Amino acid sequence: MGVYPELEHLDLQMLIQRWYEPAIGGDEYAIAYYDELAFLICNHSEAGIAFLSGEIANSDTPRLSAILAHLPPNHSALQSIHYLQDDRPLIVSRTIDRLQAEQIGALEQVLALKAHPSPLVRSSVLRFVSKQSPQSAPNLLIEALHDPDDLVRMSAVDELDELPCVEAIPYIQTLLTDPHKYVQEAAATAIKNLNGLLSSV
Amino acid sequence: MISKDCNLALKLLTQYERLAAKYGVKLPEARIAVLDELRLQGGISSSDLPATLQRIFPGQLQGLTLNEIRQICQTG
Repeated sequence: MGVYPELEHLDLQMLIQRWYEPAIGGDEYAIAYYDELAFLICNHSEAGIAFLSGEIANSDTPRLSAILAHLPPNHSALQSIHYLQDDRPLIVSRTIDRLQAEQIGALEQVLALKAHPSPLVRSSVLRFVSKQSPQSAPNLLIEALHDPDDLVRMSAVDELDELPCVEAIPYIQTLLTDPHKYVQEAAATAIKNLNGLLSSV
Repeated sequence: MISKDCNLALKLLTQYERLAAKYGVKLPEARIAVLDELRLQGGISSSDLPATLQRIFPGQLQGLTLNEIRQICQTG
């Protein structure tokens, strides 16, 4: 059903019409809205993908971020790596996630962003390193458990959980009393999952 | 069933609000309420999730409800 069930049964032309209209609910939900639209448009295969690839140059931030997220990996119309230098954190973050999906060896360029001012970007760096360099990821992730931003701490916990890295359990335990409820939730889940792995060995 | 996939699927189906926030996605309150109700009943599935989370959902568990996944993952 997705986030906007009213979009589910629209044909491609109607989805395209919505693409040019303001987001339902206003700018606050634009990222979620155009994400759903791009996802559904791409489900229309070649015609939908062709439409989105033609919109790259015309798109504002929420629409471009949706294209970066949902245009198929390695599509010729999108030179993902160029967007690593964008000055919009959301675009950089989506680009890092896209580069990981494209299996492009950009570890050095992405690692250069690990101290980026935006927590969204720092979180994406953690996801990228976990997938592309799982052996060396734990040190970076454990360091990120102390990041000043809750989004980054939460992301670090999730990546340690999903690696999985049972050695990180003692470090994650300290976040059970984190000031932010999302970090607490991530920590509780990770410890349950990692302990579950230990007990199944 | 691979434990890693089970853990990720269950996390996505129960903690969608905070996981969407990692990608900069803010969900409408009305939709969160619908998802919360589906989660409570165990009927939420990958197709109910925001597109960004659907993309990372473990393939072999796509389309199954939370209750079904819990059953599968318990029995291994």
